[in-house]
Amino acid sequence: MKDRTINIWQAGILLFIIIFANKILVLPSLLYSGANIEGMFCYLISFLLEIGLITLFIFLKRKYPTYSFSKLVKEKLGVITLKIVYVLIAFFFFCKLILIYNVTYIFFKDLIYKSSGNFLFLICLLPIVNYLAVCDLRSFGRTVQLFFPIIFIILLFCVITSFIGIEGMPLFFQSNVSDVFLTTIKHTTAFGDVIFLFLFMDKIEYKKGDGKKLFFLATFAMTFVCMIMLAFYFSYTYTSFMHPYAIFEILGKVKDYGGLGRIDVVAVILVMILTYLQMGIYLKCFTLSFHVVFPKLSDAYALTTFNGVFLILVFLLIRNLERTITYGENFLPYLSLISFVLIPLCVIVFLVMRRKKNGKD
Amino acid sequence: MARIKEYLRILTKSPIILIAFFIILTFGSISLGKNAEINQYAIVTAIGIDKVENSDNEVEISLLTFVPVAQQSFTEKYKVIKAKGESVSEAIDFAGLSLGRRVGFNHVKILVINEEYFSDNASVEMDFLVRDKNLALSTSVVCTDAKASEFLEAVQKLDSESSIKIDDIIEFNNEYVYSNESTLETFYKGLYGPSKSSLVSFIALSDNSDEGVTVSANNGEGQAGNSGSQSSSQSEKTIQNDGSTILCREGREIRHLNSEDMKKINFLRGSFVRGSITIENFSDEVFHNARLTFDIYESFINKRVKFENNIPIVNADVKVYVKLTEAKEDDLEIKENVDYKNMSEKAVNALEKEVKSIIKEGLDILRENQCDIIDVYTLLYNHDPNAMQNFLKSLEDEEDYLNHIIFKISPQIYSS
Repeated sequence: MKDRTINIWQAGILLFIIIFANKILVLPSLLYSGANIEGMFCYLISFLLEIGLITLFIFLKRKYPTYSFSKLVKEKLGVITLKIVYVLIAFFFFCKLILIYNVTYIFFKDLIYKSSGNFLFLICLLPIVNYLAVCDLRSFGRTVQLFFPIIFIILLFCVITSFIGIEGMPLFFQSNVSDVFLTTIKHTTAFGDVIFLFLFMDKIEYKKGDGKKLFFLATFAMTFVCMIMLAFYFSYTYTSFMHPYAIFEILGKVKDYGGLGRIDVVAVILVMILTYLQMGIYLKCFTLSFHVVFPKLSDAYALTTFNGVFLILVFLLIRNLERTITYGENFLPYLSLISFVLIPLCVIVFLVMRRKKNGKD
Repeated sequence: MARIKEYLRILTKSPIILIAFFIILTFGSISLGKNAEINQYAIVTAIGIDKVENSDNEVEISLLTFVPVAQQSFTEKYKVIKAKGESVSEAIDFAGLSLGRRVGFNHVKILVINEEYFSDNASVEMDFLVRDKNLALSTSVVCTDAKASEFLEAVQKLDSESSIKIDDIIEFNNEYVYSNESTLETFYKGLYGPSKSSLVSFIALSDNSDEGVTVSANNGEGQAGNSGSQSSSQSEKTIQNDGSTILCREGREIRHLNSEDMKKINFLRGSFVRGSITIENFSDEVFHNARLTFDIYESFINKRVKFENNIPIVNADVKVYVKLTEAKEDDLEIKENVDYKNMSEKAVNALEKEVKSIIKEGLDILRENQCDIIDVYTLLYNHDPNAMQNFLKSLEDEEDYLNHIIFKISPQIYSS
């Protein structure tokens, strides 16, 4: 299906949603294990890199408003480079899909559906995610627009109520700079999803001043993530590493101390909605990249490839949280080179080439 | 036909409808086909852990389990299920076998541990429970001098004989100056914090006691969950929550604190809303050699820290809101409306002196046991990490830092 364009708000909402991917469940606890309370700086460093990627996107969009990223790579760097870059991007989103699926599955299994197997979860998730991937981008944009107020209200509720559970002060300055940077590198895998903007570059309607809207929604999402992380660290302090599911745990804390009943269910609903949409975006990026690598093959081939390999890997990889974290910490960080090195490098090359061409003219 | 086509067109064009459709269809049909959770899981509300006599490794687990019984009255039925195993997890498996259900920990509110077992190495013994994701870390932890299984049997009786629930009793501990509410979370927070110290509530279970709540208990052949046995003889047990608390360091019991000790420590922590202060032999314009008791309505403590010549100084401003509730004096008569009577300056001074003395005694307890329950370490370290490290290096024993910190207490008494 040929995707129709989306407006900047819809792109911004997609960005808002993707910024939460893999950051509000297990990451805060893992960062605390690596860098204590200074784990919050890992978030800040990675978010700064993501802001840099968004800036590069806006810059590129301004210079090439009608171009797609694939067309730019093809024209400036050749077909072989295009294929290599897009194979890597497809691989990147595929691996992230496996990670987010694993973490969410284990979260739901641990906390709610103890007796339910992987099969049930796949039935609930895969058809919808597949549909979201093949549906028109504008329809997807409208869907996320519709869900945005719900997500926003739930997030606001989570953040406000989580601050009730805060007690005590953690010990600062326990980790050194190298701890912070090593932990950041180890967990960069949770970041860098914003490169989806480059893939949808030609499908985003962009007018002068629209960059501010993107920045606004991105920083808004990042602020929410940071607030959730802070509420988590200040609520649990020295035992933060013992609580694997941050957003769920902070509401659990309020439930225990505020006498508000089982409000942690709100976090479960939020995680559910976000997972569907985030996986939809990931898979859409995968199919788009697949289509660039194999232009003659339809979306059906992309989805068949994805579903086949995904099912095999998911059944091989899903065992427990420890195994998922090993996969995320030891293998995936290398893939972050794609989002934080390869894409910026391509953009810089385009811009330099354009400047040289302008100079010659 | 046209309408169906139109409907299908809308369906295929709106992913949101499809999403809703899929969720309802899959979750709905699966839920309908499943057994009721109550038939799969045993709802446990309290866990007891005991050491098995004459065995180094075996543990005994007692589970206070909700038993669903069809009845018209409001009372919930509970049974105590016991099982032994080489480890806590094995004992729980055996308990599940006895119950014919999986043991569900989602509703557990208290964890009762025998004091002897606890004092060995509590953090190691509770390891399984912390790893279990279904057991909330907000579960209250209680130590008892009796067997944990006996304690749970008494709790079961208490629940069936009255509306008093043990978890309510423990939860209320936080309100009073004489006690402390301990949970798995507070225990581990203390253990993993810089002070490595934590407090655990202690509730005694005795045969004859003048204080506490008395419940009937079975003797002889009466077994848990078999309380109706005709061969059992009735006696009485008293659950005595007098604020006693166990002071732990590095997960091990180091001192048994009574309610008076807790009062002293809680004034330093500032985490209570109810209690009382008594001043003896007080004389002013109204009273002569009177014994005055004031109710505390609120108490706040604000700690400010600084370093002077490498010595840490903690300035603690304690604000206490009190009201005179009891006065004992020979020939005392109430001649005016006491509600409108302001406290005399003398009374305020006497109370300030009393608060200062209470806090000093509390500090002495903490210093003596090297237990930084009030976590001044964090305050000082966050204030100036380098100065704190220098200070610690200057000490012969770094663990003994509390004895070398200067505390300046400034109590302020307000009449409410």
